[in-house]
Parts: sequence; C-alpha cells; structure tokens
Amino acid sequence: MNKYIKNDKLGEGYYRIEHPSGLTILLYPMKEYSSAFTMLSVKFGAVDTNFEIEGKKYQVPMGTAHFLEHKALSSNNEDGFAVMSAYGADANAFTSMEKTAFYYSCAHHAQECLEAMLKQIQLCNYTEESIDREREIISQEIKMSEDECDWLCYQNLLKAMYHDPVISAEIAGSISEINKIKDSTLKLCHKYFYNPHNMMLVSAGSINCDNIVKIVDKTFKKTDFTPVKRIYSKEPKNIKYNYTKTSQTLSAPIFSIGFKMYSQKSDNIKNVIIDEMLLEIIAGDATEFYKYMYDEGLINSTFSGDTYNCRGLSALVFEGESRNPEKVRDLICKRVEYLQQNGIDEEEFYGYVKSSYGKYLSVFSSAEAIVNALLFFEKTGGCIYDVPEILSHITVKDAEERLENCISADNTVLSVINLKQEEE
Amino acid sequence: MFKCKKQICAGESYGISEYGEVSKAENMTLEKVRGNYRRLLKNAKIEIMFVGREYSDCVEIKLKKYLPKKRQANIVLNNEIKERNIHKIISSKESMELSQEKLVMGFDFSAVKTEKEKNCIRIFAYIFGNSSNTGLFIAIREKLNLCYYCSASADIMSGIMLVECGIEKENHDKTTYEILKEFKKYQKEGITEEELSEGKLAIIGEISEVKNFINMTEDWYMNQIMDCKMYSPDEQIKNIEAITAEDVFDAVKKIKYVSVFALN
Repeated sequence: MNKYIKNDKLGEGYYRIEHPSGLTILLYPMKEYSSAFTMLSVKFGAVDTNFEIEGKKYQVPMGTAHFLEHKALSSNNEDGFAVMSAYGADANAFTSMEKTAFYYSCAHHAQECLEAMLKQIQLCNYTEESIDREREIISQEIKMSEDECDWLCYQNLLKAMYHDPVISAEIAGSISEINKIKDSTLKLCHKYFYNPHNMMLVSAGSINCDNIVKIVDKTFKKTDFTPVKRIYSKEPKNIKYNYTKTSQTLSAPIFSIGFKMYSQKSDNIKNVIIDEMLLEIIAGDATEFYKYMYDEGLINSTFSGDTYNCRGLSALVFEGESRNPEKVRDLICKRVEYLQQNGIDEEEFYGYVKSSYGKYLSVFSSAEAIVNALLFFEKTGGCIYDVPEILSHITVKDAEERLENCISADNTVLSVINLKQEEE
Repeated sequence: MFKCKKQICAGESYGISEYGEVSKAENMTLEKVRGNYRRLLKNAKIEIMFVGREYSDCVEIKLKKYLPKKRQANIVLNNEIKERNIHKIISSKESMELSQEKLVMGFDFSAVKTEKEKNCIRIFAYIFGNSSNTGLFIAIREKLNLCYYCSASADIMSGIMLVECGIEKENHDKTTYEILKEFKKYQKEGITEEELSEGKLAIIGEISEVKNFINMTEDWYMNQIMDCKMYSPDEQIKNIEAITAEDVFDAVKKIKYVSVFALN
C-alpha cells in the first residue's frame, strides 16, 4: 500500500511505499535543499546472535553484524563505497545494537549512488581471502575503540547494568570472536537478514521520488521471505552490580551513571519523549542542581545526559569527568529521590515541553535528521508528525509516574575510569 | 594531532593550544582576566552575523549601547603565513599504555600562497586521505591492511596537512614508509582526471551543504572574514570547478613532509 502522509501545519509531507520486493521506502522531498541524504537500513544488529529459521536454531559469533557491514557492499571485486565516492558522495555505514545502516549524502549523481548501493547489497560473493583481510582491519578497529576511554566507560556500564552478555558486548565483537567468523557465517546472515522484507530505504532532501522508485524497480526484484525468529534472553529488571572501576592513563577520571529502567515498554514514543525530558528535569544544564554541581567543581562542561534504548529496554545515562564521581552519583540519586517525593515543578515541566517541541521542529531543517527520525518512528509504529499531538497531551503526572515507577536509586550503576597513576 | 602540529609551528601562534597550558591557567589571576576582557571590549573587531528570516537591528543597537564609547578595533587580520624552512624531519614520540599506536605525520604547505593553490590542496587532501577510492585508504588500509583508519586533513589557514592513523606498534616504520611512498607517488605522477573529478565533486558537495544550514552559513562567512576573503559558496564552487589536474600537480610539489609524532 502506498500513501502520501501530509502535515498541513508544516506544509510538508512524505511518501510511504511498500515495494513489491518487500522493501519499505520512505521519501521526504525538501524544497530548496541542495543535497540528498539516503539510508538503507537492515534490521540486523549486534544483538542478533541467536535466531531460529524454519525450526533450526543458529548462534553466530558476536560482531557478525558488524563484520557483514564491512563486507556487504563489496562483492565481485567491486566496492559500492568506491563507486559512490567516485561520484563525490560522502558514503559510510554503521552497525548498532539493532540495525545495520548504509548511507550517503550527495549534491549530485544521487541516482547513480543509489543504484550502486542497491546492486551491491544483494550480492554475497566474498572470498575467504577478502574475509581474512577484513578481519585484520576490524582487529585494528577493535583496538582503536579499546583506547577510547569514554567508550570503555560506557561499555563497562552496560556490562554492569545488563545480565545478557549480548547487550553489553562490543558491537564489533572481540578479536577472538571475529576469528570464528567464516564465509559461511556471513552468507547465512546475508541470506536471511539482507532480504528486502527486512530492509527500509529512506531518503530526504533534493530527491526525485519517481526516479528512486524506478531504480528500486530495476534493482530489487520480488523475493521470497523466510521469517527469522530472533531469540533474546529475558533480561531481569535489576542490575547485575552497582559499581565498576578500571584505570587508564588520563588527565581526569571519567564516569557513566546509569539508571536501569524497570519498564519494558521503552520504545513507546510517548515514553521516549518523557525519558528525554526526565534527563533535563533531573540534571539538565538549565537546572539549579546542575549549577550547584558545576560551581562545586564536581562536574564540568563535559557533563551530559542521554537515553539508552535496545530491545525495548532503556536506561537514563549521565556521563562526564569528575574528581569525585561517587559524589556525583550520590547527588544525582538524591535528586531523583527528591523529585520522586516532592514531584516535578509544573511550570518548569511545561518549559521542557516547549523545548522538546523546539527540538522536534529543528529536525525538519536537516535531511539527515529527517531520515533518522523517519526510521525511528517506523520502528515504533508511529509517524513523524505524531509528536506535537503527543506533546500536547503529556502531563507532569505522566512524567512523575514514569519517574516513580521506572527509576530507582537502587537500580543504578556507576562506572568509573580512574587515573592510573592514582591507582598505583 | 596537536602535538605534531605544535612541532611544525614552534614559535608561531598556530602552535598554541586553544586551551592554553595548565601552568598558565593555574597562574591566572582575576586582574589578568579582567584586564584582557576589557582590552577585548575596547579593541576587538566585532562581526555581527545575521542569518535567518527577518533581520532586526536590535542586537547592533544594544551592542553599541553597552560597548565602550571610545573603541579602537585595532586587531588586524592577516591570512599570510611565513614560509617555513624546515629542513630536517621533526620526530618525537610519547609513551602511553594503548592498544595501538597513534601515528601522525605532518606535511607543511606554507609555500602555497594563492587562493587557486589552496583550492588545489583542498582537492588533494581529499584524494590523498579522505576518499574510499584512492590514496591512503586503498594503499594503507585495503591493500596492506595496516589500519582501520588513515586519513588526511588540511588546515588551509596554518598551511599544515596532517595524516593520522592507528596501527600496531611494530608496523610504525612500515606504515610511515608506505604513507610517504603514496605521497611521493602523487608528487611525481600527479592525480588522474578521475581523481580530480571525484575530488571536485566531493568538495563542491560539501560547499553545497552550507546553504542548507543557518549555522554552516554563519560559519562559512566568518571563516571568509578570518581568511581575509569574501567568496560566497557559489563563487567558491566556480573556483573549484576551474581547477585542473595540472594545477593540483603544481601545488602538491610545494608540500613537504616535515614532522612525525607517535603515541605508543
């Protein structure tokens, strides 16, 4: 079913097309925009290591989705990225916990780039030699991330918060895990996950919708689809342990504080919006609480908050540098308890609602932001234009209930990377 | 990357970190900060940038009301870099417990003077170290599998191009050799028409994005002012389009390898 979804207030709209091949296409033309941003998203991410196909169970090494991302656009001695680069496109790919995405941005030759990407993504002719070469490259990537202390601190946080090792594993895997990945592993995953029924093509900016559909018609034929049953461990509500500390050569200790949320409905749009607002309410830079921590020298300008979402699980995370991360954790926990006992100031709350609306509107000035938003809303079963309506109905009581029911100081983890010289 | 740059720019303003130094920050006094701030208010060149739908002169009016009456904006912007004479490779390393060595190689192009030559350097830096089709990506990553990333960035204002990569410590000599070999190949043979086309398309694509964002538009014109120029994005696109492979070849001959820094 194809439809045009319009928003009268913005005076914009986008096309949602269910292509005969099984591919879902979302196209958002933007007037007077000088470039196009296009993303092909595959629902196959780092967490998909256990699955069942036609009654048979499979387990693949951690890091398989990321490895496949590295190989997916190079088959038959041709490299899709090289072709896109030749047309001046800025092309790249990434793997997250739940998906793999291939994307490019270009001012010219968008059609040639799309054709190159869609053609290559369907091929799967990897040689063992090329896989071995890629293994070397990915080993260097893994070592690069081992040296990134912020990333290490965050990974340690996830390991402490989640019992399921798949959730807290490195997306790229480990050197021992990637050594287990063979040609057959990649071909198996490619066959069942890199199927148009499991993909979404999203494009925004200066685009010609008819031409895009014609290119998909030309490159993606109707394919059979074998459903894959993803097998995930049931994650307990409580954390694994509440404190983790390692040391590195740094100039200042860094920390991540995670509040593991109890609710399993964390990919509901309303809850996602409320969680973003809770970050601001608890310790946003407009709060007196933030100012107090800053003036006391407990945090600095690196302090920030973010939400973590994966498989319907979520957490609120605060990160930064501090000479006393334990005190920062204690203060934030006390702040949460204070808000739970005394409620959220209503006037302040509606200020955050307006701020959320402003952030939402800013999405529409960027093709890349629109593409990411469209993907997110498709995943949650909603529409990008639902947000104002949702915002207009969110009350301070909704936020207080989420704070009360989903967050607890007892379900909090502190991850610290301390100074090596201090440890010694 | 800053350490490699600092080696090349010893004694120059470009060799100073934007954050300053710890010892100087610790010795900062209220009087010094206040004095410098007053000097800024009195002497700094002020640019009011408005990018948006409806212009309002209220910012200008209020600034004029609150700034010192007797201002003397005596800061002179100068985009000229004195040509550096570095004859011996400056090499240094520092130890740090890391999984891989961080290698940075510095190339000086302070001999490049004209706007045309600078555009050639922009195109070359893309081809040499930012395309997944040419240069270091192919030579160092894809063919030799020495690294996950090996990229080049050219800072036009300081006249320095830096190549950075993460490698196994034991591959330091091999990697520096191969990077230099790839660079010298371009100095000797120049770039192909295909590479030129790709480089131009990429740079033009980047410039085209400026018009899409208010903050990028502001950033663009501020950089033009700091560089003592005033090209619009469209004018700069025309300048890039006019570049030939021969122009790039001539400009690349003026780049010199001068510095290497390793953290391992």
